[in-house]
Amino acid sequence: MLKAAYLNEAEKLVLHKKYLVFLLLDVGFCLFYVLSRVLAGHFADSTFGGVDLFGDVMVGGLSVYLLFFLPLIALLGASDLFSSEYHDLSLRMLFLRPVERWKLFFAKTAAVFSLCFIFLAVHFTALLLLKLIFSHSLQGVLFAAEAYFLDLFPLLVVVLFFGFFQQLVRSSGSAVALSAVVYVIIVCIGRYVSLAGGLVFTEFLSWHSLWIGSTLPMGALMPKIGILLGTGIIFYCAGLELFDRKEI
Amino acid sequence: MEKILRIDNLCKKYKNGRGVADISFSVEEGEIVGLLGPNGSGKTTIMKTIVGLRRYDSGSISVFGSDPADNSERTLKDVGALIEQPALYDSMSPRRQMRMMARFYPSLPADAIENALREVGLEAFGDEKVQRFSLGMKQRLGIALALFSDPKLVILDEPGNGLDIESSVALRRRIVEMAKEDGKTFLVSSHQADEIEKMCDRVIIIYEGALIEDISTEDALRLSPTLEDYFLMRVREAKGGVS
Repeated sequence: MLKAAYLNEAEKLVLHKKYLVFLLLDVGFCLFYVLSRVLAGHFADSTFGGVDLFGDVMVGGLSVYLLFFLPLIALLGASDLFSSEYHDLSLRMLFLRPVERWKLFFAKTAAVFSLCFIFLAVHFTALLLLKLIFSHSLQGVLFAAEAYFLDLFPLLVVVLFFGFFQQLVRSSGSAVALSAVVYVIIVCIGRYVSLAGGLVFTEFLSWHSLWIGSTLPMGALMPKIGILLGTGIIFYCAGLELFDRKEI
Repeated sequence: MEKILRIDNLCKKYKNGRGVADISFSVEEGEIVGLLGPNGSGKTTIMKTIVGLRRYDSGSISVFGSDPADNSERTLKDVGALIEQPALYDSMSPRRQMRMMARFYPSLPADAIENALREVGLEAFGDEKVQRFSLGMKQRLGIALALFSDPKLVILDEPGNGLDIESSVALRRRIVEMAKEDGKTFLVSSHQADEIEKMCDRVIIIYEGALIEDISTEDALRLSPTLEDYFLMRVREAKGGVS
């Protein structure tokens, strides 16, 4: 039943044309980003051109992408599968089927995470192809692949965060607005409140920077792993509890 | 006959004070039982608690021996339901949403979806988006979604809503046919006495959240010329008036 529920949720997301538009925008952004570097290379001296210019092209804009663009996709996905279905009562069709609610919640969360994974994979592939076209080099690709893989973990927490907030309000629009506002507040707290800096999950979105090329000992990484894991578990359990109690 | 559904002392109260209290009845295999009562009397609340859409405050519900709220996967496998207005994905076609729901029934025959669509007269509209459907067409699709998995217990809340006369008559005939020939059990709610009278073996009258009568349609018609008259008489009695 879990597989059936996941396939249904994934199919629903695929049917939304807006994600295709966002994917095209993503690829367009990658093209713009690489072309701007090519143009910069033309106007710079020779030491700024060639392979050096594209050395970090695949991870250069990754932190902004992970902090704003992918959370937007996660928010839209969570809204489509949770609050929108609750709002238009189509969730009732699922609740009347022989499937446990935790399986439905898991399937919906997994489908939103899969959507974010596809975006990340397309972003990676687009930048890889553009790098090959313009620099004819694979230097730094392995590092980038590791970085993209590591950044999937905090991304899962973002998905669980939006999955939880979609359960709080019945109206679809209000749920989206509430989730977005709370997310921005958390990002701001992480950035500007020094005491809370290491405690909020949005500060770990560039998870790869802690692992790749980092000299941090394992002892220093453990509390960060604990915070990320704990936050994810709290959002998942709280979201599931509210979803399980839903009366429709 | 095996008891398919059993409700004992069911109580569910909303914050506004409405709801149902002390509801007890059972439904046997192959029976067509009607829940009759005015709007807001608690018929839908009873149906929602039976299928686990709402939690109840006290009492117990047993569907095929277990409570859907505890084990929906096992219990709802053999239950088909249409509660209130049909819950549909407006941006999808009937075929697509039925195919999606069919994934939850692994042993469903390949032609089950087409048969259900044909049964409700939507075969030609199977690939159109539901958002273009009329109220009656949505209702027919809701009925198809309740029946396509070949459930043993079918719960239909106001199934005649939005249906034209021809479709209403056809639906009533089909319900009686399925109960008699396939042994399916039906719990049907309506606020229209003639609809219940024409298809149900037994009628349960719900008034202001309380069960005031559980009687066979035959016995009710022996006591009054129509079920409508019987209903009015029982409601007057419940209010403390003259019968």
